[in-house]
Amino acid sequence: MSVEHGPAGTADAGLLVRHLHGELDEADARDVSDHLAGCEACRTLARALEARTRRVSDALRQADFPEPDEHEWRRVLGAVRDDSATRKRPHRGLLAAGWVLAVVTTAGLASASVRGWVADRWEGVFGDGAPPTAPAADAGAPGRADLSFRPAGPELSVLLESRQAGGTLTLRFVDGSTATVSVSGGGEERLAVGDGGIRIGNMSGSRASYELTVPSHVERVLVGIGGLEPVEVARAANSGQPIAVDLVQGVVVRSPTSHDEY
Amino acid sequence: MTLDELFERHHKSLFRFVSRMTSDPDFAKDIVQETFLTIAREGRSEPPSRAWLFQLARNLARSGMRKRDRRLRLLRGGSHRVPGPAPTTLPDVEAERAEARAAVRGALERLSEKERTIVLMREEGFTHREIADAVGTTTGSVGTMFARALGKLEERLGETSGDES
Repeated sequence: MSVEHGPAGTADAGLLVRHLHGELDEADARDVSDHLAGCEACRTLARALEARTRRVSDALRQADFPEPDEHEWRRVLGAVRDDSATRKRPHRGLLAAGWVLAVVTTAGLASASVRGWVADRWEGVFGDGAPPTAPAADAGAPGRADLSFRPAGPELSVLLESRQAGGTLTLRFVDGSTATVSVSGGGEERLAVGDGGIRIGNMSGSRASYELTVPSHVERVLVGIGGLEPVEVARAANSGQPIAVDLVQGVVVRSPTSHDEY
Repeated sequence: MTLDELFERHHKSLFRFVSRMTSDPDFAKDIVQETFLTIAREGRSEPPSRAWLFQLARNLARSGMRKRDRRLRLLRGGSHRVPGPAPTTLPDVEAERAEARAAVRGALERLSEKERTIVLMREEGFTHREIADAVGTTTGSVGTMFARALGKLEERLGETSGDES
């Protein structure tokens, strides 16, 4: 790599930072070292960058807030443990408070595992009682569940609790006012559906795939995985073909316009 | 690695990172708790990487700050003003520390969120690759943005110390 001077009369500061941080490969690092040995201007800049880094580090340390004491950290860890233990109890709805649920119009199920999944969903929506309308069995689709709902707003969110070991979320925009979601290849996933979107209580070992149809009044779809901030993956205006999200990598694939990692 | 071990290993550096990012130690403590709650709920068979943990904390903090700021705006805009704490006299050491904190906070606020994350993750020892993944850029850009952020920070910190003299 040849090290060249820019308009400022020195090598690029970013390159020198990478050198100082040990981020260059051996050959590039040697080239930069050789250049520095013979260039006073770049040596001065490199020394200035080192000094600035030290001063900023010192300033950050001096301004640090006092840490909570050990007792407080024990309390925090205890709260995490309690939550984890509580969530392992059977028949507990997965929905967090504040996740407002509304219209679920139909549901289909076949296998026992999926039946449990739908029951949990209804539990989450309506408490521990039976759903107001019994879901209809669909014996023709083992290991698969389908349901539909009507998103109220222009934005639809899909929140998955975990990154998975396999599977994709495929979505396509369709005419009409009803969204549908199908799950295949899973067993432990639990689902809550509301006006705002879908919350999927999945596990990191899951390999389930989800198919979502989005009605035309929804302008954009956001997906959040594993507690990360939901990211827009599709807009109705750009909905030429199905869009798939790889639930292992968190990557939009097979999209005509994007291949975004988040 | 158990959840307890993961917590022991990372909770302090996570707190430092988020409190520097947000200038709010109580909020930072809540974010640390929320981060480990999220990890526990995922039921992973393998522990997450340190970089993933920090990325999760950063996202939770960003999301939480937006909500917090919205609430504050609503409170400020309402007819009932929320009284602030009564002014207190701080000991000299604490007063100096408070001043230093205000100066650093002002300097960090001058950075873009991405630049701030780059500086603070580097302070925690992350590689450029890990930082690039976290903020969604290339490793080459991390060096450039780091150098730019250093310049802005020093300029601002210099201005502040100049104000005092």
